[in-house]
Amino acid sequence: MKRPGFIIAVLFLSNLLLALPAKADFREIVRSIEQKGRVQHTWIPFFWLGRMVVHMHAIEGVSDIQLATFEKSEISSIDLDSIVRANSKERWQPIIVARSNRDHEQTYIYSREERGQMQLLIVARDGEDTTVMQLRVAPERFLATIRNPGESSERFAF
Amino acid sequence: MRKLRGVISNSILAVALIVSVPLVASAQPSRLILDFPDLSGKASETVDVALDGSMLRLAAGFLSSKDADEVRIRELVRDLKGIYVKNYSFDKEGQYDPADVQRVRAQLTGTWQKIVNVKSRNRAGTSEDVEIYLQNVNGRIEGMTIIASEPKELTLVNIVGPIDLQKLSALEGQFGIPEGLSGDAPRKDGSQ
Repeated sequence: MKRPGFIIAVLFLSNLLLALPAKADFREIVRSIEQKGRVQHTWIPFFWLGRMVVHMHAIEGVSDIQLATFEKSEISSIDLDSIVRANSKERWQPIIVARSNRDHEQTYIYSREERGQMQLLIVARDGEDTTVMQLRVAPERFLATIRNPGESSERFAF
Repeated sequence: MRKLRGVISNSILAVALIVSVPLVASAQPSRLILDFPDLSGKASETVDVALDGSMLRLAAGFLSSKDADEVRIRELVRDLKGIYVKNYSFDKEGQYDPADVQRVRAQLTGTWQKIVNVKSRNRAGTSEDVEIYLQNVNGRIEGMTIIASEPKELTLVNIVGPIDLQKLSALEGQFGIPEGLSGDAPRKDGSQ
């Protein structure tokens, strides 16, 4: 007797277990921003469902996504780069940093390889809003990111 | 970022002369300091690209072995120790001082030699100044620095590691490096 719900649950849990080290880093970074900024990240309804869809279909070369947003927060004075560096067990390498004094935007794109897979960490601040996003990406997506850094920083500027 | 048409192709002779006179290797660093916080503070926008050797080799491994262009990029990139690009954009002319650029030039001493200095003006009348420096260590090119300055934009490129100038055009428009170094690509603004 087939139990699709059980199979989906096993698939999802195995994905979570595989992603545990990366997830731990992501949580630490988000938690640190919350502590330093005295804010809570915004809860996104059914995000877990979207994450599962991304995992199953690898949309645009992205096979896993974690996302935390902070809206209208007073964390503009926090050094996001130092938070990432201080809260990562495995080193994230900053590859692209874009700042706009005109629009008060900052975008940091970090990269690292984990078990043969590329991961990107994007930390972007736009005025009062801050977004932290971690992606597991296909090699083609990673290549596209570093081959066109200007375009990538604009694409990830939320 | 403006294109830098024809700069390298017109400079092969200069490069050959430089390489033919090997310099004694010194502790001159190939990697330069391109980050100037005071300049970042004045700029309306800055883009900073930092790809070290391990990241470049990783990227090279993902490049196609069937596409001729990607094969050239892979061959050029696999021995590099890093590509570092800093682009400053300003809202108004005169927001950065020529002395700011001097802080980069001051690092280009010893084994570094200027091979190209092109001053041009496009159809819109905007001046563009491009300087290219090579680091010659015992007859080998071990680094390249490009300073491209316009009234409202300053781009600094620092390529660290052995460079095959014949293949350099493969890197145009890649990893934040300006287009038009080899002179093959037409300028978007139509100027020569």
